[in-house]
Amino acid sequence: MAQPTTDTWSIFDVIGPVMVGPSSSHTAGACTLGYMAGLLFGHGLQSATLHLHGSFGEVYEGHCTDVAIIGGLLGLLPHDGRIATAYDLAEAAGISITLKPCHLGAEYHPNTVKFDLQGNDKRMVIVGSSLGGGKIAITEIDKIPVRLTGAYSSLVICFDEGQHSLMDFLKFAMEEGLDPVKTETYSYKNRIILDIEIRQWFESAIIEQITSRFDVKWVRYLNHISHYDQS
Amino acid sequence: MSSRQFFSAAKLLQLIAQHDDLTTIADAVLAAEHELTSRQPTEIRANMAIRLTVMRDAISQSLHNPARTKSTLSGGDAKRMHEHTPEHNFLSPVMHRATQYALAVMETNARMGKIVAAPTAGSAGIVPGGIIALQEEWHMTEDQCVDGLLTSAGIGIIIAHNATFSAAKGGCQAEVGVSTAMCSAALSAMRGLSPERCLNSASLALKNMLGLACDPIAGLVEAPCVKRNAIGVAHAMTSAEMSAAGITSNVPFDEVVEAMNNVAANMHANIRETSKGGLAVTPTGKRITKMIFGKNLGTALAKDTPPTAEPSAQHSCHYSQA
Ligand code: SF4
Repeated sequence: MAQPTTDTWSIFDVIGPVMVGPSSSHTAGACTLGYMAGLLFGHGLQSATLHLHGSFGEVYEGHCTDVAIIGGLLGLLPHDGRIATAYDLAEAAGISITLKPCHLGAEYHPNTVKFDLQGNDKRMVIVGSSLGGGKIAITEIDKIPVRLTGAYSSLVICFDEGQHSLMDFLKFAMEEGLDPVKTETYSYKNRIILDIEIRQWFESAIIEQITSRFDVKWVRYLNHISHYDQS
Repeated sequence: MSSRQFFSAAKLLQLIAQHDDLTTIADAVLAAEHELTSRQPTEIRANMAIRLTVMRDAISQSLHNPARTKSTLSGGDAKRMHEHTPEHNFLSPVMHRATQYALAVMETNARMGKIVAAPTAGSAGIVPGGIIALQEEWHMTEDQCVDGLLTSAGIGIIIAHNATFSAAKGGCQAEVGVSTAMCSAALSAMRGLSPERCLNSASLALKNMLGLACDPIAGLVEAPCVKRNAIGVAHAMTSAEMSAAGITSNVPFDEVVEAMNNVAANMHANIRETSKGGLAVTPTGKRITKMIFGKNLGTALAKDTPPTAEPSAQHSCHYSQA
């Protein structure tokens, strides 16, 4: 039975995204997945291995799925015409790309990509799926099951159990005048990913403060991806 | 104040019945979107109007373009249909125009041009084809077109919440099927039918698309997709006209969506965007696939296989920008 979605749908997701063709799931959604993975990895990407599962692995060439994912990794959004030149852009940026069609297992959505991202002494393995009509969800980060959809702006913090508590971060956010709307915690073994939904835009200085004040693995700010924007 | 979000046709009709400020599906969609995103109705309408412009650009980019796409699977058909003006035409002027426009948007999409997914890129020709052809032939205002888009979005929202737009999950009924339902409701709204009649035309359209296979040749969103959009918009118009005539679907819209979900669950993976079934694995489908990718996807290739084009580099994208 197809799972009814629990995500919110704006009318701009339905009559949209405004995008460069040819496929909303295999091009636009793929691009957004790359974009989210790029944000999660942060600076210093040197190599990316893209494991393409299911329909992604079967038909990626025809839909430019690989091109779109790489464009996204480089920070381009689905309506950006530069996506078509993503391989050149990656080469110019010194990022090596490897493609591997694969089968991750029946439990994965048929349009799934597993990113193995490396650079600057860091490595991150991120799994995400393109859900149709350009919608996406990041479902795993370094084996930690998560659900990040880009539907809202959030502060994502990764740390080890025992180091800090949810309250430490919430208190910090409040002190900084941020307005946390909702939190979600995800864990695998003793590692925790905390997703704090924040409505307003905030300065990257806050990220630096968190990194210096707390003992965290990493912190990222993910800006909400809206299909309302079209240029 | 109770919520104005709706996740079913029943709730949508209930909201319209209960609130004096809501008379059409477009009104209800605006109210729900405003509640969800706090954007003002004027902003929402203005953004939708820009999408209409993107749609028109996508049409004009291919309407007179005779060139085939790089894969050679599509291109030039919008022009062909545009220049086809026989004295007797099976299609009414508005339907004839809509089919040209649907073809044009899809050809632009195949050339990696800019389009508006509605709800997906593979089905991007149907909603604009219908709405813009109706505007031009029946002299509708831009505001009426925006109402049409909002109505189609309302239908899409209900389907998104209860089923899927993913062909990898639900086959082409989730793309072209859904967009015919969206388009049909939009056209019904633009000609002034009641919300019930709009939903009814969406039911008629979607019912006739249940089980549609997603089987694109070589995995490209071109064959059958491009032509399927043209026939899809004609299908949406037929449904809308039947609804206007007072023909009523036995099964209400919410249950049709449930049926779509149920059919999706019964569809084999081979006909869900894997290009392992249907048209993609016909002798011709396989021959074309081999020609394009230099890759033998099957054993039973046609004898007249042309010499393989230079095998595509793993990294190349098979779309021309031209
Ligand atoms: S056949 Fe598949 S790729 Fe083509 S429009 Fe239908 S769902 Fe999309």
